[in-house]
Amino acid sequence: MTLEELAGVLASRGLITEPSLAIDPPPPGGGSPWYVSVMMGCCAWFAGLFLFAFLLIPLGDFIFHSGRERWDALLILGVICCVAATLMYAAAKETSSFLNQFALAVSYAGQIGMALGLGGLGSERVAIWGMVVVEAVLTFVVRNRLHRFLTSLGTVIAWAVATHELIFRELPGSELFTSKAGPSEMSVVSIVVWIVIWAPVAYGAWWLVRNEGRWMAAGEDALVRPATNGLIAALSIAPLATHPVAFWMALGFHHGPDVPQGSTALWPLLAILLAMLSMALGFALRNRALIGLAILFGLLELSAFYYVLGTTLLLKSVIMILLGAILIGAAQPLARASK
Amino acid sequence: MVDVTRRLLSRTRLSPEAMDAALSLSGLRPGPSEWRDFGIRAMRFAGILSLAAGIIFLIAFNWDDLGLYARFGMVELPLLAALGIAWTKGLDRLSGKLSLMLAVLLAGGLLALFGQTYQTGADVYELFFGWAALTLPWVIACRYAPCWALWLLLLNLAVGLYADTWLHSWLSPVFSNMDWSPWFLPVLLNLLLYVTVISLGRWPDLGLSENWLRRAIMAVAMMFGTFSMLYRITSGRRQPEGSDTVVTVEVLLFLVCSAAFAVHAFVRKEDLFNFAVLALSWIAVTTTMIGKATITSRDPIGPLLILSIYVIATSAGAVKGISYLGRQWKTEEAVS
Repeated sequence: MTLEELAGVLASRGLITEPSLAIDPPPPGGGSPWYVSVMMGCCAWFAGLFLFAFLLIPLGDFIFHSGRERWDALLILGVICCVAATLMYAAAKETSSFLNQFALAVSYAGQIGMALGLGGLGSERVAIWGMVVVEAVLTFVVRNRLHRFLTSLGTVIAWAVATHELIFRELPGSELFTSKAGPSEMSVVSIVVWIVIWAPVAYGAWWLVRNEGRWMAAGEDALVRPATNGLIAALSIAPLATHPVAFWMALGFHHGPDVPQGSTALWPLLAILLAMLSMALGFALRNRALIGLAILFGLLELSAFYYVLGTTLLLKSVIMILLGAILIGAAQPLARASK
Repeated sequence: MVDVTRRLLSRTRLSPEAMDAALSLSGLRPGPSEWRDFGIRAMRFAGILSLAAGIIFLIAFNWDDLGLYARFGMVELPLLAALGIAWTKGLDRLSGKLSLMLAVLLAGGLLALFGQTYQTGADVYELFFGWAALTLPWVIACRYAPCWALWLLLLNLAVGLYADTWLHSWLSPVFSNMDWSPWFLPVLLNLLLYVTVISLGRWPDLGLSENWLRRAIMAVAMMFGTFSMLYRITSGRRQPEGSDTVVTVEVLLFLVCSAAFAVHAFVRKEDLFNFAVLALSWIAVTTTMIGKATITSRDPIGPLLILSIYVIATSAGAVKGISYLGRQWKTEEAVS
């Protein structure tokens, strides 16, 4: 359907007064395909790491001077980098590839600095919750689609890590070599809390997709589109960060004595549910990259479900066969109805 | 196309109701029938995967108390059922294709059970080679891109595992004392697979013409190629004597791969994906080379800044180049 035909149909339904659409001039640059954005994001991440190391080494003597650590200096350095990145993005045109890449790298360096600074000044918990806020603020402040996608993804990942720490009193991966996995990791309460924590993220993504027309009409596409995509991508990726340490131990990522595995096998199943939601939301937006990402992470979680200990293969097998039968059975009436 | 239409609509000044209608009318939002089709496909696909996973888990469970016939029956009956359904439904329908895909998955389970029961002493890569070889006729008959993807994964696993152990194999007299990187064979395999898929993609009925399949093979080839180069650069002078030829061959293969993927994308003028992957790979390799040559423990600061600027500049240049090519192709398409 051409734009003229679309305008004609909208006018015939009384949704617009004239049978033509007034279109604002396009912003310079347009959007990059997803794979170019992935390439840019990866390169900027490494450039940011180099940049951060370049800034940190000369300041090392000042920050870690004779046992007295000046984490506030690192925090200030991080804030300065993020502000500089925001200003660079504001000054740069979308077509200025170098400046945009430089700004992204500076922003990454700033975010690393802020995370370390917050952690040094307060605690790990302060650092993680601080990064939830920082990432969310950057999503609103920085006017760049790729940066907004990455920071909204970062917000949910930070949220997942923060809530993981809240539930299990540990950082993901921090206990891998000490076999301290506690009984709280396996309790029903932890699973209920997990669902309560993911419900707002899932609902938020669903709400944004459902109200796409509303925010597009309000002229918020530049802000909300990348944030929505970031949120949907996070539903596939971020649940990995909420798996308890016992899950990774059960996959063999540890040394030392065995720990009780409990119901660790449940976590990848929960993550698969979120990946399936992410796939459906990607389909609603007709975004193949998001659908592919959801399938990829869904399959990764499925293989993790096989390898992770915590329950017998027989029980896992029964779960999968029942699930398969239910899914195929449920598809039958739908298929008949579609005929 | 979807992105272009969406961007156009986002620049109109429509009311929320009109925007909703415009999104539906322009096909940017799936209609009820599309949702139903998506639901059916997703449920059937996930269902088949779940069933296959369930049966494989069942085989992996240690069935000491179960007799020989019962153990084999556990796999063979579902395998025969899957083949029967594929036969009755026909391979032109999704249900038939999915059933045959289930049979391909279960064939691996059967081979594993055979090896487990009779203690054949076969290496894991032999299991995967056997699995891939035995199921190839079914995969060809299936003519379904996800089934091809599964088969290509099996082949990659077989070759990857084989490459890990090949110095102890029948090739060892030929390649003895040569320090091949474990990624050399997977790169070669995926380059050959790319050429094959491109050649056979001319016949869409084979199920090999899906863009994502070609992209995945290319990305995997370049990923292994990059690993291979990083391995060579970082291992530096620690390489054993007589490995110069090996290194030369590996570098040549990386160059040939890069050139082949670039030339193919450039000639076809359809997809910029290859260029993005090539850019990422080459930036990773050259950055490692520069880092290895410049960073010293005495003065790491200057090189770090150089590396940072280099990565930013090369990636920005790549974006410029890719965008320029995209615009050029669109113009040529419009003119023709």
